[in-house]
Amino acid sequence: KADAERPPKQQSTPVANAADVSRMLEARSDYECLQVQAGESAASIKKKYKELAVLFHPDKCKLQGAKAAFQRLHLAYNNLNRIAR
Amino acid sequence: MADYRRVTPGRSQPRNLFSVGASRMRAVNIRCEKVVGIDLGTTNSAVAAMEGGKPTIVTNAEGSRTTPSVVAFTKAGDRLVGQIAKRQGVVNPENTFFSVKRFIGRRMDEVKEESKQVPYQVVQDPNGNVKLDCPNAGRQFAAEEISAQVLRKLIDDASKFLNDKVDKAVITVPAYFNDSQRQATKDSGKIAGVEVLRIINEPTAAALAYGLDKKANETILVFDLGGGTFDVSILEVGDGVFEVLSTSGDTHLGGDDFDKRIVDLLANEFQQAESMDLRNDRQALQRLTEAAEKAKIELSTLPQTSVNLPFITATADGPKHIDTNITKAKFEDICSDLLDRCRRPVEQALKDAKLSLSEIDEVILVGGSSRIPAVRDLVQSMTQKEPNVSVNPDEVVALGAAVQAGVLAGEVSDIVLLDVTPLSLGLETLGGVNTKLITRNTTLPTSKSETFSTAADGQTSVEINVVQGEREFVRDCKSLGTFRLDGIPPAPRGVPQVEVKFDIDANGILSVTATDKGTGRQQDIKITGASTLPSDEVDAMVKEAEKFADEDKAKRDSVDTKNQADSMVYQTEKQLKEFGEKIPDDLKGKVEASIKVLRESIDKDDVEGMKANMKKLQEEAMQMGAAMYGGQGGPAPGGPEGPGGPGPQGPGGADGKGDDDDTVVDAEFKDAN
Repeated sequence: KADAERPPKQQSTPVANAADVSRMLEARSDYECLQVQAGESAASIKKKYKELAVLFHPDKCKLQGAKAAFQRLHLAYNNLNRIAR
Repeated sequence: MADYRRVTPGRSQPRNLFSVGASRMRAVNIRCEKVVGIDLGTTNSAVAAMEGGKPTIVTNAEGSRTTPSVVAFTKAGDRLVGQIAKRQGVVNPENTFFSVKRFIGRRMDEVKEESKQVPYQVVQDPNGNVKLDCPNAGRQFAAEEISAQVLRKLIDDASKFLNDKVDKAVITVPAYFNDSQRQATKDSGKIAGVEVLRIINEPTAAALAYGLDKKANETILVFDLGGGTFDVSILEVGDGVFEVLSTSGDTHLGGDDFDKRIVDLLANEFQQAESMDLRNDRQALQRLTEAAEKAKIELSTLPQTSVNLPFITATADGPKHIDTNITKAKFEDICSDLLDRCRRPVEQALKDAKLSLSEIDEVILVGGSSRIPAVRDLVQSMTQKEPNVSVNPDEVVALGAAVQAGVLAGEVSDIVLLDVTPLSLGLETLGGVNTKLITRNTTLPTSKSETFSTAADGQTSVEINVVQGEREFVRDCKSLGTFRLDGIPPAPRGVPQVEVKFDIDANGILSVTATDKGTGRQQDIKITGASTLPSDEVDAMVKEAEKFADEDKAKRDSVDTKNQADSMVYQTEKQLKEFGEKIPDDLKGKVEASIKVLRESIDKDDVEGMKANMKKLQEEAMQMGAAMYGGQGGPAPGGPEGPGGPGPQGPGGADGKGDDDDTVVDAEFKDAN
């Protein structure tokens, strides 16, 4: 019923694994962290940020380092968002 | 039953409580505990739970969707919660506690004004904290304990409704509550025996419920005017992310204040006419307050309402009444400054979110007081938008809390709430200055560190005073706790380096660490000490609440036993009267004696005696029953019955029952006469 209406993309919500978390923590630049190219629009940066926030927020991800990973993500987003604007 | 539709199939990672395996197993047999969302309001509370992937309001034992946040203690020592407590408020004003949320987690000097507005006695304990005096219970209660009673009822009703154990909850608080008010709310949950998974902000919860089905990105402003507090939050909703951009509010503004204006209007008019201040009479004040609330609610739909309070008081000339009319215009006039106070938080929230009004897509009204037409007009004129009234302002907060409960329990997988800290956090530096480390509206979780130094030559220790608030000086802010880092090697001032780190996790729990960079010495505190209650006191209250629950059970048991005993006496006497002739005299005597003994234990309220005597009487009543039917049936009971009643029994076989029964009963009546 309701399941059928959901777009297939949301049905396969990806889950962060330990490798994702450490990749986030070891990101050398804000771009790498947010997985976007330099010069991308504010809208697409925001979209990517939201996508990653659902993955790494400590409410959603119980892995060690999730909190730090989310904080890194948030910092990167704030920086890039400021530049894009 | 829980719905795990949102739990992604085929995922290898266990998430939160339920792994994929567990959710498959559920189909077989596993019943999980329910997690509920609770809107613990100033005047009314509500509970919701996730059912079939949708948040649903849980109705209480009385069948209502909201429960008044009122607790009363009667003369007989009974505790009443909810509607039943509210109803007897007029005749028991000193022992009926309402609007307790205004006092929770507060110090007496913060609530001077509010404490005068309630008919019950608000007192100060030796630590300067607020206590509520209850003459009927013969003791003082913390506001946390009163709220715990409300929570307990909500949870009990919810577990009945859901037919499942409920021991975890998400509770909402006004966004502008400070740390100690939040901690106090958490303590209430603990006293009530529930694990509080998270304290979330009311406007945020409202946005969660509103935005659950929204696909597109929207920027929304939540205008939440409740019974005692006022909050404004701006959120960005979309792609499963609920991001709070800013929040602002006033913890001293709500529907109660509008009621108070009507009370003052009525009392002043009365004082002019009769030169008597009704506000000094607790019972009259309670009646005025109730009438004022009713009038306010009516004025939301009518241009004029009448207030009728017969026999409000009596003087030497006889009884006095209030019979007057209030027009909507008059109401709006006396409340105009309250309405004005709603403006500033809206402007502040917009400023903090760095947004202009034109960037707001929807304005959502939450809280019962947002039904006041003047409030709606104000919102509309301020935002130049038709406010969205698609949500039920009384229920939406509880629904949102249930959504967050679902997220934390892993039932709802594709949503995340990015909340902010509502007030800035800092520490005290030289001259009593509040040096902010984490500014308000910072997304959680977050951490920030800064290096400080000593203020005097040769200083070997520093005291770290953690404060919450926006003001520049510590004396105007709320101190959350202090700790000391010592063992700093003596050095000229400004040389030692002390790194202070603030860290707030997703639960909103703040921990502060101070490290002397020279020696590596470290000191830290977790700010849970911001609570107005020490933890051992909370533990004592938890025990007491359990005792209360046991007492309640015992009381309930005794009432049930008494009712049972009463009805047994009545039934047996009726049988004796109706079928006395069929019962052998010796048995009759025994039964009558047992009835007498049972009566005595009922009169003495002796529960154990009642139980024992009931058992005895029941056995004899069975023999009586056997005797009554005995004549017609088996040979075994026929024996002892022989002398008693073969006569009437003989012809009265099972076949000719109808007619014969009538004759027998008639004869009984003659006998009795």
